Amino acid sequence: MSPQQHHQQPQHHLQQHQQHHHHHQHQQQQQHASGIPSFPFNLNDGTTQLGMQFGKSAVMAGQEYVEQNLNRWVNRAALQPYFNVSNQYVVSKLKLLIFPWRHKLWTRLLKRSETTGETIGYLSPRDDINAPDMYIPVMAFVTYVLLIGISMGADNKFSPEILGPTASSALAVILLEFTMIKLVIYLLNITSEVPILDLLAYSGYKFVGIIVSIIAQLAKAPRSVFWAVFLYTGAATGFFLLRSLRYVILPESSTGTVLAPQRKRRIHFLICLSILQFGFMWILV
Amino acid sequence: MALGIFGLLEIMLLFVNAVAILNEERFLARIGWARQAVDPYAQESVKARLVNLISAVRTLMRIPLIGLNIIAILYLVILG
Repeated sequence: MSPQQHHQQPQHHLQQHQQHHHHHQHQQQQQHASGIPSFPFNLNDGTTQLGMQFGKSAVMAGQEYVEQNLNRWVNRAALQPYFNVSNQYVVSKLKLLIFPWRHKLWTRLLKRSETTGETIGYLSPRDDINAPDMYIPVMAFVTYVLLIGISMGADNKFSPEILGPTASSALAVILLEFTMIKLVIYLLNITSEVPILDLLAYSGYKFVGIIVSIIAQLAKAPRSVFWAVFLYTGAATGFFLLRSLRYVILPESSTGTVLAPQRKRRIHFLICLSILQFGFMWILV
Repeated sequence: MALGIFGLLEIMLLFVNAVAILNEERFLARIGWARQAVDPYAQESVKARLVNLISAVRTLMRIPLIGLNIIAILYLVILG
């Protein structure tokens, strides 16, 4: 229906309504004559439908507006694979983050086109445990902020204002690590294209280890136990990062072209980054 | 808890400022970091990349830095 039709309808009904009150009998006759359905006791047509239509179109317009503006700032298509996770993946990834020592194969699986068989990027986390996802980092980040609040509350020092600075300093650590990695990637002339979100995901995984350490702290474990847990989770996170970032910093395909001293420097950088995880985690715990 | 995200951004801004005011003739040339002094064919070395980065920051960031600094100063004056 066109909008003009909508506007005509209520006027028509309004007229009918007046007629109904003032000239009741006349109205009755007219109704019988023209066959218009009786109006005043049936709100199911006309006005209600008009309202529904208006509401629907308003909601649709709002949705469209939000989507347009969201798509302008956020690349949804690029973001979607990072949240394509399954329960199975999350559980096994968390296990891997806590106990990465026995994992053998760290390379990511390539996605092949169904028609041509060419490789088109990597498989999403749902199908590949080595793929970086954003679900675990984001959830771990929120959990970390809340846990800091809880541990403050356990000491009767909680106030709502501490949540903001906690999240802010955690973001600062992520940003610092990201900037460092980007800078070193530039300085070492590493040409492999690595998405920004991959790096953010990898630096976000450390929150899982931090959460375990904070829980140990919350459980009123003795100082030595807390230190053991902290060192263990730090080492696990560092090892995980060392093995996962290998494909970024030392791409297998170009191993032949990477000169020996440069390769050595890159390995040193990887090891430094892994050891730095202790520092980052210590800041945040 | 001491350092938030805005503190870090401020630090980064100050660092970029520091890089941008390095003088090519008076300072960089004297310690052998001038653009011409580095062999253009040795693009692989870290030093060459660093020199490249410094000169890129000096030429490219000069005008954006004015705006960024003004924003940072206003932010600190009003809210800091």
